[in-house]
Parts: sequence; C-alpha cells; structure tokens
Amino acid sequence: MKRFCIFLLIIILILGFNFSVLAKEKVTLYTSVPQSIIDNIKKDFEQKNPDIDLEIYRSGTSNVLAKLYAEKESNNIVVDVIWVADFSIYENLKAENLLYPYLSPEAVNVPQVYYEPEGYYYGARLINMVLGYNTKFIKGDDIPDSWKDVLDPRFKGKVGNSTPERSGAFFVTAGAFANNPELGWDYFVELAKQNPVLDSNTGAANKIASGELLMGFVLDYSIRTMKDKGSPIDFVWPIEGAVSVPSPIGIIASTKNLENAKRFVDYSISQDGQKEFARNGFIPIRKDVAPPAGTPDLDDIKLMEIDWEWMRENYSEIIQKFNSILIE
Amino acid sequence: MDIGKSRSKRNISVVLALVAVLILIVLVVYPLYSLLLRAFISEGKLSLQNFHKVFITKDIYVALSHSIFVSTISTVFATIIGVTLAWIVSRTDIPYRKLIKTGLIMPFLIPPFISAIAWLQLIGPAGYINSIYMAIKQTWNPLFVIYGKWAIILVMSLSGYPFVYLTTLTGLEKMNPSLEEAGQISGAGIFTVIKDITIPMMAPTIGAGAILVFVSRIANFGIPAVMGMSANYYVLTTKIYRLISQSFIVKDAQSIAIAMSIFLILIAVCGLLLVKIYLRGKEYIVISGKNVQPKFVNLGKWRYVMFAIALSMIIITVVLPIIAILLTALTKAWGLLPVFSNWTLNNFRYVLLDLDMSKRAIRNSFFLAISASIITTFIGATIAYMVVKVKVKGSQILDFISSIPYSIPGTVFALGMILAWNKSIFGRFNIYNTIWIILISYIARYLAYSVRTISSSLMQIDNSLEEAARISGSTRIQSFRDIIIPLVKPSLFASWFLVFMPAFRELTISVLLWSTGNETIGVAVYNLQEGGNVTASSSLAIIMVIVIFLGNMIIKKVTKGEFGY
Repeated sequence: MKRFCIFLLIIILILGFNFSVLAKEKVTLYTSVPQSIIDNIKKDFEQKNPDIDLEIYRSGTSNVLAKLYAEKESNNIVVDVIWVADFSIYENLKAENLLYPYLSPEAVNVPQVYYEPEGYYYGARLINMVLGYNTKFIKGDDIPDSWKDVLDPRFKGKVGNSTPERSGAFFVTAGAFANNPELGWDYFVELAKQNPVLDSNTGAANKIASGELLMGFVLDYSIRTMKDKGSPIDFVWPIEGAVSVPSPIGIIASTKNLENAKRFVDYSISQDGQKEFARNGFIPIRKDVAPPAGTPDLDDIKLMEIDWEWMRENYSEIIQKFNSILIE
Repeated sequence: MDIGKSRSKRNISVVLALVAVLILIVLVVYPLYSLLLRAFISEGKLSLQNFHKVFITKDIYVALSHSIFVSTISTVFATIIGVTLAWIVSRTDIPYRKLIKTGLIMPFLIPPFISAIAWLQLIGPAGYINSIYMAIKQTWNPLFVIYGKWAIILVMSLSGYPFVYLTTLTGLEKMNPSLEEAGQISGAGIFTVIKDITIPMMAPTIGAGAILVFVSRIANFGIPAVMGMSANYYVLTTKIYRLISQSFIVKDAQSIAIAMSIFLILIAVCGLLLVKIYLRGKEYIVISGKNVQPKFVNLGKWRYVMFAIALSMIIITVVLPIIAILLTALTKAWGLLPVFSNWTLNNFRYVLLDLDMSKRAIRNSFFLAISASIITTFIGATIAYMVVKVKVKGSQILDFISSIPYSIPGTVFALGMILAWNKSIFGRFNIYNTIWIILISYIARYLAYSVRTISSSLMQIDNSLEEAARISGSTRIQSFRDIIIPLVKPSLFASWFLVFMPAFRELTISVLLWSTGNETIGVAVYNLQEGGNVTASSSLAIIMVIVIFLGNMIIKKVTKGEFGY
C-alpha cells in the first residue's frame, strides 16, 4: 500500500511537472482550420520560429467564438490569435474592441481586398464552398454542374451540408444564397425536402467519400487533399457561382504574447506561410505563390456576390432563418 | 468510553467535520446553488420568470420527449435482455456458466460513446455491413439505414442491459429457491414457475434495475452525441451541450439550458427515489441472505442453444464493437474496405506521436484519474469516518450531500460547475478553462463511490477494537493508524480503483469543461470523431479500451476477484 502510494505520487509529479516545463515562448491560436492541416501549419511555423510554441484549440467556428466569449465573460482571455471564417464576424469583433490592429510588413504583398485597412484582420486563406460528389457512384450525366442538382429527388437523403451556426464558411454561403436572385431562401426550403444530413464541412466531405452521401456542400481544399489520398471524391464549380470566403486571422487585443502573435500573422501572409497553405490545398492570396496543382485562376471562375455589410448586420437573423427552415 | 469523549476527541472531530463540510460546500453545494440561483432568481427576486420565458420554447419539449422516448424503449429492451440472461445464468445448467456469467458484464468496460462509434461503423449508412453490400451489388442504396433514434436505442439497450442483468442476477442468487422448488414439485412447468413464482418475487429487483437503466440512459451524453446530432435528433443532454456552445448566438441559451437541467434533475431524483422504495419492499422477499445453490433447470438439448444465445450476446456487445474500431484504426482512410491491402499502423503513430492534442489528452487523463482517485479517497475516508465512527450530530447530511453529484446527470453537474466557477475568485484566481475545474468536478462526481466503499468496510469494524487500544494507552491517532487503517486498507484500495476507472474514461463532464491544453482522452476521441477523422478517433479509442481492460485485469488479480469485472 505504502509503496503503491509512493508510486502514484511519483507519477503525479512527473505528469504535473509537464505542465510547468512548457515555459517556452508561446502563442495560442483558436481556429476552425481542420486538425490535420493546422498540424502541418504548426510544424512549418515552429520550424521557422523555433523559439515559439504554437498552442492550438481547434473546433467549428461557433465553438471557437463561444469559447472566446466565455473567456471574455470570465475575464480570462487565453487566446492570442483567432483564425476562423469570415469577415463579418471580425467586423463584430472589431466593433467590440476585441481585436488588435497590426499592420504587418508583409501586408504590402497582399491585395487590398484581403485585409482590413488598419490591419485588424487578414484574410490569410481563401476557401471556396463548392459542390462535391462521390466519383464511385456519380458518373457521366449524373455529374452535377448546378447547385440545383442537389435537389434531384433521386438523391433524397443522400445529400449533406454544414450549418451557419457551425461553420463560418457555411454562414457566408447561406447569406450569399439568400441574396442570390436565382436561389434565395426558397433554395433551402427545397433542400429541406431532401432530408440533408447536417454535419461539419469536413464531415460532409467524409460522408461523400465513404459513399454514405452522394453529393453536398464542401470546401474545395479538403476535397483536393482527400482526392490526393485516393478517396473517391471530386467537386465542380457550380454555374450559379461558388462562394469564396477569405478566412481571416486577427490578433486579440488583450493578448499577453503580442510579439509572438505578430510573428504568427507575419508568417501567415508571408511567402513561406502561403506556400505551406498552398501545399495543404488552400488557394494563396499572394500572386507570387503558385496555387495548388490543377486549380483554375479565381478570375476565371464565377463567384457569388457577397454583401458583407448586410451579413454582419443580420448575423443572428440569418442563422435563425436557416435553422427555422432546416433544423426546427 | 468516558475517556473517548474527552475534549481532545471532540476537538479533532469538530475540526474534521468542519474540513469535510468546507470541502463539500466548495465541491457540491456551491455549484448546485449557482445552478438553482440562475434558475429561480430573476432580478433579485425568487420567481419563475426565467422559466416563463423559456417554457414557451418548443425545443425544450422536443428534446424532453426525445429523451423519454429513447430511454423508455431502450429500458424495455435492456430489461428483457438482462432478466432473460440472468435467469439463464442462475437457474439453468448452461455449459461454461462462469465464463458466460462474467462475460455478460463486460459491456460495462466499454464506454458508451465508444460503443456508439463502433456501432456507427458497423451498421451506419456507410458502415462495414452496408459498404460491403454496396461494393458487391454496385449500388448507392444501402441495405438498411439505421440512423438517429433507432441507432441510439440499439446502442442504449446493448450498453444498458448489464445494469438489469447484474441486479437481477444478485437477486436470483440470494432468493430462497425453495418456493420455486415447491412449485416444481407440485407439478408446475418451468414457464408457470417463472411466471407465477420467480417473476413476482423478483419484480422489485427487476424494477429497480430497470429504473437504474432508465436514469442512466436519460443522463447519457455520448450515445446521442455520436449517433443523434448529425441526424439532427437532440435529447436533453446533447441539446444542453449545443446550447452552451452557442450561448452567444442564441438569446437566452443559458436559461434554456438551465431549465432543461431542472427537468433532468427531476427525472433522476424521481427515479432514484423509486429505486429506494422498490428496494425497501425487497427486504421482505429475500428470505435467505446467503447464496443458495438452487436446483438447476435441466435444459436438455436446449443447453447449447441457450449457450449460443448467451455467447452471441457477448460477441455482439463486446467483441464485435472492438473488432469494428480496431479495423477502422488499421485502415488507411475511412470508407475504404477493411481488406489487408488497405491496412496501416499510421493512425496509431499519428495519435501517439504526431498529434499534440491526443498526446496531451492521454497525459491529462492519467493525471486527472490518478490525482482525482487519491484525493477522493482521502476526502471519502474522512467523511466515512465522520459518518460511521464519530457520529457527530448531522453527519448523515455529509453522506447525503456527497452522494448528490453522482445522482444528478453529469451534464447538469458540469453546467453547475461552469456557472459557479466562470468568474475569478477574489478577483485573482480563475480555475475556469484550466485542468483544475475538471479535477474538482471529478472529485465531487466520484466522491459517493469512495464514501460508500469505505463506510461499508468501517461499519464492519467493531468499536471495541479501537476502545481496547485506547484503554491500553494508545492515543487516538495511534489507534487510528494501527487499528483502523490496516483494517480498511482493502477498501481504500477499492475506492482508489472505483474512482480511477470512470475518471479515466470520462466524457460527459469534460466535454463541457475542457479547454486548450486540458483535453481528456474522451474529449479527444469525441472531437476527432466530430471533425470527421474517424480513423484517428478509432485508434485513440482502441488505446483507451486497452488501458481500461488492463486496469480491470490488474485490479481483479490484486483484489482476488473482489473488484473489477
């Protein structure tokens, strides 16, 4: 018994010790970037900044924001840098004085449209909501070209998408669809009749790859990496337009690791950082970095109009309207 | 005895009592108070204002009716399975009884959310059975679709039956078999005996087991979280989880979550009261307290049929799920067929070496389980000693309070913890978003195990032993160290184990309290599953199951079969 107790105490000391030795310089990032990709980015960043530990909390946009607000409420903000979709959320964060304005020396290489003029946030990666499908089952004439192909009754129960509550990119998609004269909220009313499976963006892509679903709303980069690994999945750029969402990085105003946070922002829009992003399937925002193989130039692709101002003002309304159609 | 009541004894008792009370206030009373405060206080006055607002929310009733539906149906199935198996094991001459008897409790070892993940892989729309069928038939239509509520019910029944099985088995083994024998001798057939003698006599025990299943199904988070959320089927626990995660988007989200918590508490408390009432009736029925070997029903040629049924139950509830996760953990990508050419060990390398989150989670879970079990055993021993030996006025209340955190659903307890600790203490310390809030939650949650185990062993120590030592001149501390401690040592060890195991595999509480760097293994498995990384979540789940089975084996060896399954 005595020996057993001593043994346990030693284990506790060893495990507890681990908590204190992490005294290395660090920066804490909250993000919705998929785990496997953020792991790669972390590795690359730490390799280029060996004195900094990048700590990561990864979850869906809504969970990340809920965490940020919970921390704010309890007066104990842990996060230094936040990286989720989309601009409208960051406008709100900025209005609430949660963001720190930082003009990165790298900003000169980034097109004006991709960052806030005072440096409150940088749209460091471009993600596009596109139409994914399973290549094992969907062939020839069945290959979709329009968002409306998802509504084909043959695919009832075999389509899927995320929700605006869960994913920032899907929030932008819902808003863009609602404002689109060809689609509108009616599109989602019709979609509801298809009994779509609601999951995360990655979850929907996984279900399409596994054959549980035949097609659905997915993010282009995840399909590129899955396709490379041999999964039976592909995507099309729908004729009504894809929804392109720059997913921004911003520094939290109360950060205690400002210098490290700045270095992460610098990295994310630097040539090195953008190269690493492109390796993970993201379309780079810098013209001096080559996009992932097989990616068309975004100038040649039809993209849907996005009214950022309207999205920002109607944040809750868009989510509630969507939920009332597809969830409740 | 007069010496024993000296001032010094009273002083020590008072100090001990105060410490115990203080610990219980911090760990249990304050979080519950915070929860009830938020529920019933509006603008500084006691009122139902908060409920008035949220009771018109349709969501609450949808989730409530879902909770009751899946829990009721799965309780019915679990009870039928549990009672049948308990009867077969205790009343028939089934071959390999010992093996079957213990094998049927094994589902207890697999955490419910891991069973859910496994069953999704087996019978889900893209599960092994369907994907093999679809590959052979070259079709996109699966053979069958079990999703949402029926999938939840299936897993809840299969992981719930051991509750009924165990209580009924204990009851049947303690029941005096002479009545059944009398019935048989008077010429009644097996089924008449079962219908008219066994079942009526066992009814309270079966009822208590069924209620235990029901309450544990209502409180379960893992199964509906894995199987229900993507099918948009929410029960109370998953709805509360969702509400908390979107509390800044939806107005009143927190109030709605609190209102739902009150429902959960009510259901749990009613259930446990019913069990108390039922089991009080049982005292009259069990005549003989000792285990009596009843005459076994001769199954004849049915022996092996029954054996096959019992064995297949073990295979379905334990072997098959583990094989499914193991196959997935070994497969390159989810969706590929589990054939040898698709196998790899990369997923294990990923969660054990590459992924920081899962490495941290393994370390955290060991840290939490070991520290929680040690601290809980110390506090539990103090409380048990106060209640059983010192008998200070009101010490029964200590026993009652320490049992609350385990009696209410984990989701509710965690919500209380959030409301209690999400602000700074003295404007300086803040344990919210640290590992310590999870640690104190575990201590409070599993305190009841510790108190019960240690008090029942203390009760068996006659006061005369301690008195003899005191008369012979030893001090109170000496007699405590030399008499009490050695005698309760096995129960201290048991308490340690009984806290370690559930703390190690915990999900329901930590999924609401975790933060960056403070993930538990349960949270890591769940998050990987949620994020669509099925192969990684399966690898981590397998590692978790291995630790649980090993721990169980060690304990069984060390305690010579007294603890462990």
